[in-house]
Amino acid sequence: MLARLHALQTTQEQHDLGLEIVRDQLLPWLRDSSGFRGLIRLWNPEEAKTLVITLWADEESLRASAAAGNQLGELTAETVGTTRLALENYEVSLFDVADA
Amino acid sequence: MSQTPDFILGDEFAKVLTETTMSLVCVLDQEGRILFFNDACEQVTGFTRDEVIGGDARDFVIPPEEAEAFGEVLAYVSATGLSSPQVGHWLAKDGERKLIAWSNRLMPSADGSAALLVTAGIDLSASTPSAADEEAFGGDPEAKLAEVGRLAQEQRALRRVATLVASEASPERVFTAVSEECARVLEVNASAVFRFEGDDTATIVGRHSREGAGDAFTLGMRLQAAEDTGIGQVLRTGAPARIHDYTERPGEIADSMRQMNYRSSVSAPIVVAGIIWGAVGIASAEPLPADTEARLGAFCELVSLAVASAQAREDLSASRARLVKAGDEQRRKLERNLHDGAQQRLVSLALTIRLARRQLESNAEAAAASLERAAKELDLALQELRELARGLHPAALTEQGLGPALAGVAERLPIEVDMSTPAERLPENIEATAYYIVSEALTNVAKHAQATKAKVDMTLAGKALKFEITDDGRGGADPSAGSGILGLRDRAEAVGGTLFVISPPGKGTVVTAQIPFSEA
Repeated sequence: MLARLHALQTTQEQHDLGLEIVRDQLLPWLRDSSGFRGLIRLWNPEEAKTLVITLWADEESLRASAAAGNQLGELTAETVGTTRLALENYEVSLFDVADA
Repeated sequence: MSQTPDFILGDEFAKVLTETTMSLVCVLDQEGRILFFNDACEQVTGFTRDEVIGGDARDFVIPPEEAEAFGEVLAYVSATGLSSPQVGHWLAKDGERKLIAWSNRLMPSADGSAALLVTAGIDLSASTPSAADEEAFGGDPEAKLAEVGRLAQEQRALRRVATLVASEASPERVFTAVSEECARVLEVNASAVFRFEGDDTATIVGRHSREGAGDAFTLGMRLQAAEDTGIGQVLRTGAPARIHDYTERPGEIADSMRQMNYRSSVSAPIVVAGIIWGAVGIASAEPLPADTEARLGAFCELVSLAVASAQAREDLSASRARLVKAGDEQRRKLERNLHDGAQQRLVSLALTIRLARRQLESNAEAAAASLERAAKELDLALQELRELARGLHPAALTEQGLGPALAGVAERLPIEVDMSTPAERLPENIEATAYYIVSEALTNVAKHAQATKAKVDMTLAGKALKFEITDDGRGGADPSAGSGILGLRDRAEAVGGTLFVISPPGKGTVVTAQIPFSEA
């Protein structure tokens, strides 16, 4: 499994607006994307930092979603009025989530 | 037009006819019980109606040695509803044997509960032979009768196999039946059906041996069809082959034949669609009669029919599977195109409008730029949706017909297309099928043929639409290599049409199709 990490500098208000956009507009579309395996959004109020991690089944799906991920990520950042700190790809070396 | 009055063909007529005719008329139920026995039957046999009605025919008039054949005829006529003319003996009350030629027909009983067998016979032993009859029936009457009986048995065996073939039984079942019937009818020790494998070997696909256990030739066994074997000769010549004597013959098959104490064999070809598909072979401990090849040939023809029929069913099934798969793939492709195209643009559009709304409060100029971007996204989304809709079923086809719709396809291709289409509108399904085939064929030309121009010639021929797509490309298209040509053929055949592709290397490609109106 592979991951794409978006790192953003966000105030509380920007975080809330970004969360709404990701949950209501991006996630429904992402769920229908080939090889999409999940999304994790992390928020650190002290550091005013948001991390968005999308998970992809393989190299092919990560590559196929790269252009859309970049374009929509940038547009989301612009819409919430923040700047993107980083956009990086990772290999998932361990993934262990207890059942909810 | 005059009609036959009811009284002529009514019950009274039947009664008078059966009482006055010189022919034997006997009605049997499906178990062989006598239900009707006319005057002629009484006169020929000496039995009275009171004696035989309700009794089994085998207890009165059927000789014991012909009881089994009688049972087979009853079963055959009951199962198939077909008549089965026979020549056989009846035993008179005084023990005299009468040779009778029978015809028969199945008839529903009065209450419709069961089918009855109506038989009408002529007593051949009573007639005084003419000179011609002497010629025809001269010699040993018993030998002649045996010959007639043998032919009748052979015909029954062929009919049983033909019934299996007609009922679309699996080829394996037909092979087994043919092996059994051949061995029985030709009175040999064993028989087998072989399928040639294309590498000088043959597989036994049907087998019957009177020896049972210890058979040297078993189902599924693969044999070398060498030149000096019967099946090897069939494979090489396409004609029946006979091995008179295995005593001194070399080779593995000959060894096994000797092991089974078989002395001679005859093999005959099974030809399917002009290709020698296999052979039927029989083996015997005795020398085989001169007419064996011809008699075996009749069984081979039935095997050919069974194989051809099974192949046709397999082709149809494969074609249906390909059509379903192609449909699934088209739907998957459509879903992907929508998701990655128009849907993504609409998500982007929604975000851009949100951005513009936020910018309106602080920066009207930036908001205007965002709205401009949104309008462009919307245009692109619409354009992509239109393309997709056109791919599904172009509006031009519904509104204007084949000519304008195909002209639209040709315009978008990077090659020159010369098009000739009928001016009149055709049935909707004909137009849709022709549109799909022509547009797909032209797309193939543009993508793969390295052609500079193509020509579409479409004409009405009676109740069919005929068309031809030619190009000046590199040719060499292989229908079996990819699904493209097969897909076009499937599409044409699905509506009862035909499609052929001729594509010699270096000389372009010609696709010829015909679609009938009635079946489409």
